[in-house]
Amino acid sequence: MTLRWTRPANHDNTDAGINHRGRPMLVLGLGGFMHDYNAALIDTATGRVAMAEAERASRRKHHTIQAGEDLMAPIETCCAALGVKAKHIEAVVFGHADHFACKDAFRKLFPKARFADIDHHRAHAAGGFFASGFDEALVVSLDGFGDGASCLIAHGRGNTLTELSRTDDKNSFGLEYLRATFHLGLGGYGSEGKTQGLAPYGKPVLFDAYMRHIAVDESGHIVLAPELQSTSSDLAVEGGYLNTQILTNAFLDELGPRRIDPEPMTDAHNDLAASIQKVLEEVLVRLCAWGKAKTGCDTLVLSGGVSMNSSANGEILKQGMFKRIFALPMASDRGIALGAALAFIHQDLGLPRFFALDHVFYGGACEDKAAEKAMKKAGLTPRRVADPYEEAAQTLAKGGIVGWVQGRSELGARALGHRSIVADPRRAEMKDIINHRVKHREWFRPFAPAVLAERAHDYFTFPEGVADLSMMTFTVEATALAAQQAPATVHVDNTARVQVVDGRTNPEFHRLIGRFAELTGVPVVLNTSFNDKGEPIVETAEDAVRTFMNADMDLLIIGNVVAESVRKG
Amino acid sequence: MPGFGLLGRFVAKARAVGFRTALRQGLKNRLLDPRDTLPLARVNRAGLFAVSADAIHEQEKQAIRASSLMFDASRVEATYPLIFEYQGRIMRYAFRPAAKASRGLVVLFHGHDAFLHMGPVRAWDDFDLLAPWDTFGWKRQGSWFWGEKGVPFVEELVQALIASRRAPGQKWFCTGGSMGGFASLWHGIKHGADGVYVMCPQVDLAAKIIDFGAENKNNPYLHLKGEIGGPPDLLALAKEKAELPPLFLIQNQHDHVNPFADHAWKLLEVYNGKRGWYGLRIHPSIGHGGDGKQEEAEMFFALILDKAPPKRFER
Repeated sequence: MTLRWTRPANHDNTDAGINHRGRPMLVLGLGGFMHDYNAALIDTATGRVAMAEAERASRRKHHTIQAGEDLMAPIETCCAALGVKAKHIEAVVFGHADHFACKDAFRKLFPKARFADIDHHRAHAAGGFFASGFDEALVVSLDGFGDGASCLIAHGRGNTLTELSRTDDKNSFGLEYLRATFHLGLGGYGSEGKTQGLAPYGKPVLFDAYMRHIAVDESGHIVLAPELQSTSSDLAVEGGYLNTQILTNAFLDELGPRRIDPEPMTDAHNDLAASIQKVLEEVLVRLCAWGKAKTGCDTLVLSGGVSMNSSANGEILKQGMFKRIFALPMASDRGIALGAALAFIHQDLGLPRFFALDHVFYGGACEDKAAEKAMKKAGLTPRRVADPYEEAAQTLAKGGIVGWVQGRSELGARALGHRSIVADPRRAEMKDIINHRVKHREWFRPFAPAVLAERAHDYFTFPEGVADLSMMTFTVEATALAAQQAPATVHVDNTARVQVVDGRTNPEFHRLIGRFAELTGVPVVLNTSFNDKGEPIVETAEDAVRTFMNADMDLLIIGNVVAESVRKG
Repeated sequence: MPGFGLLGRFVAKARAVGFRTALRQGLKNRLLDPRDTLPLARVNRAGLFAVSADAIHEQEKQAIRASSLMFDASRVEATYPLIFEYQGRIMRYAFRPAAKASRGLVVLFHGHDAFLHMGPVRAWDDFDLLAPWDTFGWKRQGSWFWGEKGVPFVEELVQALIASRRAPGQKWFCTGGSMGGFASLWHGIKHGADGVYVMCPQVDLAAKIIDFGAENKNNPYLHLKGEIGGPPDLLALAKEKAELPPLFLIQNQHDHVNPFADHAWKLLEVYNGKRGWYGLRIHPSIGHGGDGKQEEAEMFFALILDKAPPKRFER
């Protein structure tokens, strides 16, 4: 039986962990059917949550579901994490209401389960709000498209999410940002961060021209003028293949032909990046202001793929419009399964809230034995050490680059010190070294600083207690001290996508940075995801070794096992 | 249960989803699924009985929304990771060596704006695959792998690319749909390919210019025509050639973009007149597509190599 979204829940059920039939329940959320297939499994009896992204096992970045493929991999990962069997899953909740072919396959995989469809943007909004721990908040979910919508503004209170406005996908600002990225020749979906990184190199000369074609109307909808809406050529309309044509519009066409990589990047390209970034920040501020006026909330939740843009989130933080802000770290479709499951549990089943996301370490762990085996197989010479933090810190202090794998892997697009490449931030040229030699990517891509929480305010400017900065979801301004002591992590506009590391939620990484600080006096390291260009973040020891062998790093540390680079050795 | 192959996978699956479900899935996976083997079962049922092209477009929009097509299209650069430089111009392309011993080189031409009518670029078992990306023409969405404003510089670029990837004497073939179908025919006929497999191709580009309105600034075909030179004339080319490559052509019964009578049939009449070897399948559907697949193209090219049909059919 398929359950529809039937009731805006406002229940009095206080029996946490008990479903309406009086038994605990295993609820499986599934989503990312367009890209980034992921699963979330929640045991309502214990409140335990497991999450997994398919790309980590398949090694296909932004894993898209192919016809006939085994869909169980991330589900089985979740089951293993909770110690349950898939056949005991009672409810399967999709984070998409549209009919995807894979839904039929899932129905066959779970013949006894009940099924529910959650509207895509409801799932985004629910994921943000129900994971925020806030009792009440304005929720802004800004996305490319899904189930025909591109933006949803809602008022979250307790178990309820009341929709205030919904923008259709014809007026999608997320798609406009993608179109600009495509026009710049930086890639497609998933490459928007490159545009964000390029923006500080340009001037927003097109901002006014852009804003003449964009409005947030009095009903809280984004309205794009025809010049900014996707244009389909007569040819494409006739042929019925609108998908690629959605990546152009009249405004961008007027700027000239789009760039194809590796054609040179010019000032005009930089200016377009700067312009679209500034426009995004303006649109987001207007949406938040509209929602705040409507609800009176001084607490904000940001979700949807666009809120992966840490600069835009940082602008909201800087504006001081809200007393507290939560930005879901896996705000894109990577977190849609969690949102679908939480929406179902709290809104449909009416169970009280029990979950607040304060870390993202939900992935798998690497055993030392597996690390040794993988290293030996690759021709490295592994050695076990008692203090991997000392080993890493010493290498970093000498200017080395370390592949760092500790504990359970991070969910989402950001590596937060469990699957990271870590480097000395004191050398300004480290940015170019890692971009060129390690990650094989564009020269302009910035790197994030990870700073000890107790010293964070010395290096970065942000309001105390407003936002959780532990998950790299906000870009903030760097202080003169940061620019002086950690220049490799400060972008050209003097900002940084900071990760504040505290000893409670991220003790291993805190210890590493702490030891580096003891050696150098700088409580900051450069932290970037442990992957090569075009591949997902490493998950297993084998993945880490493979990437290490292809990149120019000095040291690989997996748990307590250390190996020097063959090149160096 | 590593190391136990099929049985191990079955046991693991049974543990995960239960014995009966695992058995059902296993049988389904192991036995032939009629939907995959019978072409008629792949008919676009909605399209077959539709009378409104708008309704078809609406259905396609819905289908696109509930698929990874947008994602794939936006990441088109990743599909063509390699870069070829020739006379100051670049062309991105993909090259996939044959999974087994190569029997030839297949050039896969995409449709307008990089649309892959024949499915994603992937390695073939017995043929090397070369897939160029045409970023020339109107809004950089494609020049029919020929050129712009009457100048066939893209054709030269493509031929230089093929020469760079084709071993001396290696058999070579062309395949693609729509714009890629035209390109397959143009390059295949003009430069002597050993076989061509196409789906819903344009044939008469001069007629397409008129169809789209010669004054229409958003007419992609118009970009092919210069002050002096016109668009490439495939029919004239085919008529000039003494020999035509073996051809397999697939066409929807009601292709509103390239109606059979206005395009493919004109070429087939040339083949008929010159006794060229061709196969034709009319797919009982409307819309600008067909049921052609890379797997079938591979079978066709292998058949050419195995049976060596003559380039001129003797009665």
